[in-house]
Amino acid sequence: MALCCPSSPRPDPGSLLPACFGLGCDGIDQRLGGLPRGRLHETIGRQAEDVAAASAFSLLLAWRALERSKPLLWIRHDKGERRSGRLDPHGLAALGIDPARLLIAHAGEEKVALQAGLDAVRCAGLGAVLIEIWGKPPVLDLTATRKLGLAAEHSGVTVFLTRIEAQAQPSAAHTRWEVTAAPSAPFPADAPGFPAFALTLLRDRRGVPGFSVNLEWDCDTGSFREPPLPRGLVPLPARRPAAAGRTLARAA
Amino acid sequence: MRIAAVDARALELGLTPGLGLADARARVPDLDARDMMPDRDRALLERIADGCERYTPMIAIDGEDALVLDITGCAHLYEDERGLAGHLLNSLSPLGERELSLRLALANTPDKALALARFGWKGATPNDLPVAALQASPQTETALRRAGLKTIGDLATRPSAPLAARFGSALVTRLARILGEEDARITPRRAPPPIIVHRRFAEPVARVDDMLAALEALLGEAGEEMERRHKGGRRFDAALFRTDGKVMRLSIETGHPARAPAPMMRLFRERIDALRDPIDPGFGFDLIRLSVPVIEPLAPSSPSLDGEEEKMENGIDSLIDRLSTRLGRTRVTRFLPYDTHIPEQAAFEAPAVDRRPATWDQPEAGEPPHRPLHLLHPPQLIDVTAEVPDGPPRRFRWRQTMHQVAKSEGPERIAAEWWRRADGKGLTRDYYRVEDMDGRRFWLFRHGLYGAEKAHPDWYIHGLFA
Repeated sequence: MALCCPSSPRPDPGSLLPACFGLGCDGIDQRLGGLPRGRLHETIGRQAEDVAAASAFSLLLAWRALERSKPLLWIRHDKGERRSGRLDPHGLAALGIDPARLLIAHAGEEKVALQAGLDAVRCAGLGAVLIEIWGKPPVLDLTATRKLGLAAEHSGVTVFLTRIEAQAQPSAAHTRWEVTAAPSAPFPADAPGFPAFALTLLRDRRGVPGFSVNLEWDCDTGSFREPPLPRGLVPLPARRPAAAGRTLARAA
Repeated sequence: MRIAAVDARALELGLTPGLGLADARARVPDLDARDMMPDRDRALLERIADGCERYTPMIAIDGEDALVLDITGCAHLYEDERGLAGHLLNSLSPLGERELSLRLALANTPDKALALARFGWKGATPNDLPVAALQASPQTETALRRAGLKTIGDLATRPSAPLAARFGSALVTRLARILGEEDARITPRRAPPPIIVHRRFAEPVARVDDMLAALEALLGEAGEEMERRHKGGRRFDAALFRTDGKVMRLSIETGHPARAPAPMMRLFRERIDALRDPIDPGFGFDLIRLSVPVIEPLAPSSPSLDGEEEKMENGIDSLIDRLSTRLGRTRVTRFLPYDTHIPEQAAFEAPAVDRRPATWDQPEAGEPPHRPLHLLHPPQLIDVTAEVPDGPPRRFRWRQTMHQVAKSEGPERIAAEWWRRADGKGLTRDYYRVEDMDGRRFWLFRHGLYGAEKAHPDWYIHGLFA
């Protein structure tokens, strides 16, 4: 594989279990203890505009969860395709994801998408399955997510359910994240930088308390990291009030 | 309006094709005239041709009104040729509410049979047929008639060299074919598949489950045949012939050559579940045929050196097969690159069932993504305010929301592919990566160079970045 492979051994602090995958960011990994493979993880984008951030976060998590040489299946719904457009493999490659390992399935109805997702999760040859669902269809209930979760536990395939234009609702997901885009750390000449996400952990079945964090995706190493301090920020002089520095940091 | 076709009774009354409708009405006031519908006629002919596939796979449609069946080696199933013809006439009689007038001819070459069916009568031989059976141009026909040559028999007795010199060699060839001296094979509507198995039922089968059981048995038979030949099938077509002549077709496809009946049967069940209308057995099916049109080499048994790996691969392949069968073969895809600068054409989705993964370029290190994750198709027109007409956007309105641009980078200039266009023109696009105040990143472009190509270039949004 020409592109980076997240399953390659990396110096991981916090000694993650092999059944878990980390975000690649030490602070968060220690806090979470990694995310388990073979479980259902849910990502929520509240508004239609959050589609890029929410689906990208699911995709990047799935890429981190992927074991060597196994492919990734993204099940899309025609409604999502109409609203957010199709995927650009060159954009995927730019994120550090190998498009050759991605399979796409298009479903015309939510029910079909969930059924296809369930079939895919039962197939142990897959590394991860992404299901993109828009709105709040009646078929996506506790039973449906429970089925997905059980199938995932059985086969070891990690499932990511991306819900766009939706509110958090009871589900059998192992973790639930709310995602929006965050301002990126600018590049020279005020150019947009690496993808940045504002994440909120809404639920974790292991009882990890919820928290909010901004993370940046490093396309080169294939890992998340805490955004660097804004460039051009001078260290605070000793006798200046700290509050001024904080406003400065927020404005940058 | 002119009459295109008449039935036997109208012919008795002296009406012929080509007569004006007003003239015909003047002669026969209570004439029952219908509009001509060539599409419907064609559909009926296709339907009859489908039904005839129970006799032979070699069927061709000739012109607007004829079917040619190559029944070489097929007649013994109905005792002899006459038995087959009788069965064919019987099976066509309940077709439609109106009676079809049928003319049937048996001959050793297709052209002879066609000429006899179109121009002949009971007990006629090719020599008795009029020269019109040659279907030559009207001038040739008139010339032949003026020369006193009225029937094919008159022509047959003449030497062929002067005929060829006067009327062209095509006429002589045609004559030889009608006389059965020269053979010409038909081009069948569907190429006969390399493997074909079928099962006939003495009594029509009206239950779908029984029909599926028979199909499974056929899959087993086809599998054994393929194993003998060291082949595996990539496509399986099942044709279910109903007693009333209707034919239902089901087909499945696999990503790899296969011959084991059980997974094929699962795919057929998937296919049946995905049908919009359930299978209607009507009065029952009396023939099921399974054909394997695409076969590829497959070793008698695939020994696996690395058993686990192979099992994994098979898992993925069978999943792709199943999803392709259920969702449609073009709905389960993988990406393939295409060599162009135009962003929306630089990749395409190909059915995963028949394409292998491609290799992709590695991105530049240390750079944020220059291509979006989602590509809007087509790009959507937006209202943009920029400080200078050829500068980066300051704010834009998309889907009734105003976005203030906080960061931007560009332009990345992509020219139209003038070398592919006949007029050598096309508008240049200036792409900007922008980020709004909320941190959402977009890909916008100005369509046309300000001043040089367009006075007021439009702006479009083309993609969403992660």
